[in-house]
Amino acid sequence: MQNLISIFRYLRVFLIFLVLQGAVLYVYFTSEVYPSIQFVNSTQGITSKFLEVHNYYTRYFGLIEENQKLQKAYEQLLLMNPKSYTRLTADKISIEDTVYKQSFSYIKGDVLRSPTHKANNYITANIGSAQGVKRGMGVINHDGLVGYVYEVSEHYCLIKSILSESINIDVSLNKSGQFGLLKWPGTSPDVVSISGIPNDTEIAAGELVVTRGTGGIFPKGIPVGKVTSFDFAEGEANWDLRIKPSVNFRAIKYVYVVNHLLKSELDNLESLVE
Amino acid sequence: MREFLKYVLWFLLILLSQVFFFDQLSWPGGFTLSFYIYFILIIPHNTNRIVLLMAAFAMGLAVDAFNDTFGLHASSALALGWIRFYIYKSFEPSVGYPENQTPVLSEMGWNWILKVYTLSILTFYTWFYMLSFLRLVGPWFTFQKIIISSISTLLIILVVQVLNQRRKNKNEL
Repeated sequence: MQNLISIFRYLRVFLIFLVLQGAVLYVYFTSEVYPSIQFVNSTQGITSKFLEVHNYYTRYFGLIEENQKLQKAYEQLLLMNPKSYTRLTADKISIEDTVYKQSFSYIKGDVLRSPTHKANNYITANIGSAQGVKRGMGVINHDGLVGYVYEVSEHYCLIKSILSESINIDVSLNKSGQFGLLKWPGTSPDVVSISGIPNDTEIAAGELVVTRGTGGIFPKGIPVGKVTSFDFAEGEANWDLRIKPSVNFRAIKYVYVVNHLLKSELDNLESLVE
Repeated sequence: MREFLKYVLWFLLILLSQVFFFDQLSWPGGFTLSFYIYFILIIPHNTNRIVLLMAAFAMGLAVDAFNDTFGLHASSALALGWIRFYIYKSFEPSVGYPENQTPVLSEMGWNWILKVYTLSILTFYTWFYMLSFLRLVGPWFTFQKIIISSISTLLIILVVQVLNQRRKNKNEL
C-alpha cells in the first residue's frame, strides 16, 4: 500500500496530464461527429460579445464592394418583378401563382468571423434560434454555397463552412448533371475537390458546379464554384476534380440561412423507405 | 503575491493579443500563429509542475473558446506544459537554475533561449498539426506548416523578448 501511494505521488504530474489530455482529446475528436454542446465555443457569453464588438468596428472596410453587389442583386430582382414584363395574355401571371409555391425562405445574418487556416473552419454569425435558425440548415450567400449550421445558441450560430474536413455535400456539374461529393483537401481556401464523378464524363475547365438539392437542405442550382483542373484519379475510374469556390471565405460579410418550408413533409415521406 | 498578480496580468495581456491581433490576421499560406505559448515559456523555473500544467491548460482553453477549435489548443498547450519541464531540465546548468530565475532573454542569454525556445515551439506545433492537419493533407504539407509556424512564432517571441530587455535596461539606468 505504502508503495502504491509513493508510486502515485511520483507519477502524479503525469497522471494529471494524462487525465486532462484524455478528456480534451475525447471532446476534440467527438466534436467532428456530434456537436459538442458542453464545450465553450464562440456562440457563448463573452466570446460572442467580443466578436460582436470586433465586427462593429471592422464591418465598414468592405462597404463599397458590398454596395456594388447589392446594386447588382437589386437589378436582378427588378428583372424578376412582374412590372418589368409586358403582359402577353391575360392569364399568364395568375397561372404562376398557382403553379409555384414558395418552398424556401432565407434568414439573413452578419458574419462575425470567418477563419480559413484551420483544419475545420467554422463561421460565426449573429443569428440564432431566436431568429429561427436550427441545427443542420443550409447556408448560402449571394455568391454561392457557404456550408451548413453546426451549432445554434439563442442569438448566434456556428456554420461549418465547406472548408472543413468531411463536409460531404451533394453537388452536380451544371452541364451534364453528373453528381459527386464535395470535399476539402485542406491545402488552400481557394481549392475544394469533388469525388465520385466518373472519368468518362465530359468536363471543361471553367464549368459551373451547383448544389444538387437532395436532402432538402439547399435549393437546387446554388453555385458552388468553377472547375479549375481535372485529372485522372489514381486507381479509380473517377476524375480528380478541383474547383474554386464562388464564395471568398476571406472576405465573407453576410450569409443567408436556408429555411426549407416543406422539409418536414419531405423528411416524413423519405423516412417511409428507410 | 505580487509575482502571482504579475503573471495573471501577463496571462490576460498575452491572451488578448492572441485573440485580438494574431487570430485576426489572415496569413498567406494559411498557417496558425499561436503567440500565446509565450506565456507557457516564461513561467518561472521554480513553479510547481502541477500549477504549470494548469496554467497551460487554462490558456489553451481560453484560446479554444475564441477559435471554435473544440480542445485543439488546450490539448497542445497541455502537451507543451508537460514537456517544458523535461526540455528545460535537459538544458539546466550543472549547479541548477538560481532561485527565482525566469526563463527570459535578459536572464538566460541568447544561447539558452534560442535552443530551448526553438525546441519547445517545435514540439508544440508538431503536436498541434499532427492532431489537426495530418489526416487531411498528409505528412509533407503538415511538415511545411510546422516549420513555417515555428519560425514565425519564434521570431515574434524573440522580438518581444528584445523589446522587453531594452525596457528593463532603461529602467535600470
